[in-house]
Amino acid sequence: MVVGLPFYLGLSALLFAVGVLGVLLRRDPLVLVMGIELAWNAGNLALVASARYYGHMGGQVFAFVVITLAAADVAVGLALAVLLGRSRGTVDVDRLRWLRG
Amino acid sequence: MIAFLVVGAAALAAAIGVITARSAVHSVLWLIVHLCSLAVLYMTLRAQFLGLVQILIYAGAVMVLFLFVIGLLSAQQGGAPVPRAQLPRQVGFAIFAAVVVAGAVILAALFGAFQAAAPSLPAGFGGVTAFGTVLFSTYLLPFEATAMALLTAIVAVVALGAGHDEPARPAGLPVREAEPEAHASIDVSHAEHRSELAARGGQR
Repeated sequence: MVVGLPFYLGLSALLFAVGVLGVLLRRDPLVLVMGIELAWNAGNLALVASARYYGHMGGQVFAFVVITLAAADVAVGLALAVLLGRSRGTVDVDRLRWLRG
Repeated sequence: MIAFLVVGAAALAAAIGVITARSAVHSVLWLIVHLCSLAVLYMTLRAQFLGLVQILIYAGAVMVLFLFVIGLLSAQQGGAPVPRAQLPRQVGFAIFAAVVVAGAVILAALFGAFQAAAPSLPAGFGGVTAFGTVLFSTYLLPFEATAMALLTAIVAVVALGAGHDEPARPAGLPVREAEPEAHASIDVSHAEHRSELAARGGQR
């Protein structure tokens, strides 16, 4: 049995769902950023698999761009987490009610 | 097929480990396993350069950043373990979203929306030469937009870390613990000053 593109896309969808679950269920901002990372990487897997099965390098280049943007996203997210931990001393994002207008 | 099954199962198990681990450090370690298994999948998909980039940048640099921040936060909070959060009320919506996302792709795959047969690829597909040629010719504009995005992120992080009311203090120092004492000492000195003035006025 040959591994086709739907297998990779199905695995990618499962990984994305796990990332969404992590973002919605966990309260620690660090684990929340990690869930976002899982979702980024699930999208990357779909891009790379599509690049393989359609014979086009564009998917790989876009996955490269996504890796770069995910690194920037991690930097900003972790800076926010450090700022929250330093000023409020809390690690529970459900208790951050002061942000609403 | 066997490689896909083994590595894919490892990636999925590591992803579940990320969101179920009690300690944030364990989450980061599971995330490293996840990223490395994804790099193996990339290499089986003829994306050798991208697999190496994944290991070097993601599993190396970004995860070190994660561990550094975890160390910084847990040092400030006295190393107390984070209590396990009880399942909040979003769990229904979370499972609904997961089922919708996974079901959409699985349905599309069942109805044959995707190309199933792998085409034969030219030699050097996914290597550094082919990657660089495409990146710096066809996709030059996205590449430069990425540079702008990175610059924006750097400016944002510096602006966040610099603080607003205290100019020019080194980042990472625990200034918040020192501030109430400073205010208190100022208040005490003011009070002493006032009482001194009052005493002098009384003498006069």
